[in-house]
Amino acid sequence: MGKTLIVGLGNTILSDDAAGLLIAREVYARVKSESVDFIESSYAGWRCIDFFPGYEKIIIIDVICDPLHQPGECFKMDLPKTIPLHRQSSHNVGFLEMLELARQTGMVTAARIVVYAVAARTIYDFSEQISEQIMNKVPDILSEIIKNEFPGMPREGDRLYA
Amino acid sequence: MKKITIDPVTRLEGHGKIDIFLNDAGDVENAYFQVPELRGFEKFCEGRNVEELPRITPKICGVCPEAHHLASAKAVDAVYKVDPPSAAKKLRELFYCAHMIHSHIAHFYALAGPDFIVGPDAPASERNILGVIARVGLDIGKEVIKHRAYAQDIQALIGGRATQPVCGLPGGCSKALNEEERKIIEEKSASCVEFSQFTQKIFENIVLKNKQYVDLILAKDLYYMETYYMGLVDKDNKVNFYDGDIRVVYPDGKEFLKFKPQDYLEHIGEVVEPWTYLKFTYLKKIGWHGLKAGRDSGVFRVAPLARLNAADGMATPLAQAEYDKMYHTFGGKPVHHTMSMHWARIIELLYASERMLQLSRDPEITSTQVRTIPSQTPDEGTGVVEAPRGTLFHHYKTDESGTTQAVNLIVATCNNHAAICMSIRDAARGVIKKGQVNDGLLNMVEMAFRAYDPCFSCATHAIGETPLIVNVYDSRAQVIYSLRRD
Repeated sequence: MGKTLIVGLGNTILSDDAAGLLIAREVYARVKSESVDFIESSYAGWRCIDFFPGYEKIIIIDVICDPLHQPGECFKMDLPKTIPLHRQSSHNVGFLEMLELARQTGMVTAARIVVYAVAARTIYDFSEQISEQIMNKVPDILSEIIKNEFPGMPREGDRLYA
Repeated sequence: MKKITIDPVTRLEGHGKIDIFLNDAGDVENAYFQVPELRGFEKFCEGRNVEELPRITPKICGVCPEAHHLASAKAVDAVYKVDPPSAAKKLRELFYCAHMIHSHIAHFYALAGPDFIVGPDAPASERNILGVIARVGLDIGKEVIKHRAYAQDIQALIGGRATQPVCGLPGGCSKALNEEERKIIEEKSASCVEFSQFTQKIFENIVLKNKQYVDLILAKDLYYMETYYMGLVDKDNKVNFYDGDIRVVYPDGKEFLKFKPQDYLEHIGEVVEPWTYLKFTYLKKIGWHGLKAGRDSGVFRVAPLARLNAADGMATPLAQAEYDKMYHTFGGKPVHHTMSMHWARIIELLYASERMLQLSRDPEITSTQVRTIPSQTPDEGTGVVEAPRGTLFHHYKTDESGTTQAVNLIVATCNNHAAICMSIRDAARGVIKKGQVNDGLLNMVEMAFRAYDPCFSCATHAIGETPLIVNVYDSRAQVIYSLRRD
């Protein structure tokens, strides 16, 4: 069985932007094993792909900032196998664009890449505090991710979140 | 008056907006580039232990955290008045060469490549890295990814972790390099030199042998501006990314200034204009006269072309040969053609690779003497490095306990801000006539600022894509044309 990589994306000094990263840390703490690795990153597009080679499954946990969603809502999506692309902006080495290239060149061979996105209140304020609304939802999000991606975990007696 | 807006609205690698104003005849009256910069980062850094800043400041940028890490580490050295051992300086420089390679490969192949390999007016659906690979072949794509990965591996090896480096401490580095690690770096560096030479050939075969592209590079009505140029130079006035003095040359190429990083406030001023958040920098001795080029304007440029223009050459033989070739092709120094920034960038890629190989073979590189423990009372210090996209300044003041009282950062893109605005304006005037606007023409406007490899990235990552919105307004500010690509 191949290895799984948990990727926590976010910036710990940009308020709610840290939420995905902190949740990823907690998920890893619950499911840590020889077949699961963890990396946290605040890097942009292409730089994230550098960490993907060699994994069968990649779980990315990030935030989205969209006024249509309540802070703390969590969304899940499986990235499609083939991604239709076009160049859209001037300084864009997009994540999906580079992922597709990495797949075509055989550098990334993951059978599944799943993204969890937590709705944020703000990601543009310099702060090391995450919104209370999101913090209140963290146990549920954590439980949901572990249930979906690591059935049977956590082991009995493990705490979900302090 | 019509208004055209190019507005990437999400936060992938930062974001900016271009407003182009047309007159009643449909020609470009003016153009403005705006950056919704995140504010308050310098305040956020105040009141902290200054030793923490090399680990905090990289978080402002998801594109070049290594540049912030080392500028910060050098500033902290200066705050503590401590000179790192020679081996530590070499180790930092080796690490930094890897970062330049990592960044310059990305820009050439993924950002500039779509314009010069696929074509500036090619369909938007093909103007991406996959379009580049479709032209040059999948095997080259593998080499691109492989050598970026090599550079990433070396950064992680010396930096102490795969993301957000932690190697820079006041007075040196956190750990030395062992022989096994050195051999790995040497092998990967040698491969990077070969790949960089190959990249010069790609540029020559695909760009320089294509008359359309050469005409584009030489187009004075689109991509040309005479300014001052700034860059770090070593004791021989050769390009150096990590250390040295700051040299500024006149638009005619003669030396205007040469100063120590700690004296930057004597020479560089900052000014705010009411229509954008990002500040402008200028040469104090000349003064700020708005968005004007030429000898009487304090506007200067940084980044690869500026570094080459400001220096007397490259410190490694293969890069020096390419440097000579570039200036011979253009008929001498300095070169003012903005599109030649791409050529300068791959010459720097070759220099960084050669220098990395040199350092990996330096007998001192595995020395365990990589730190001088600070013993002085901290007060004030400045650290400067050449980020891939230009000169980066960090300046800290602390109290006696080392708690920061004031922090000032001047990022590379701020130094190029005025030039970027003018380049966009000039390109827009050159390509948009009688109200005729299409995707290909707007891409040629974008090319003007893409050449600078600007980074507005306080935003650091995104899984989503970046929508591009183009709005055209009439003289009553009514939208008469709108284009959105999701």
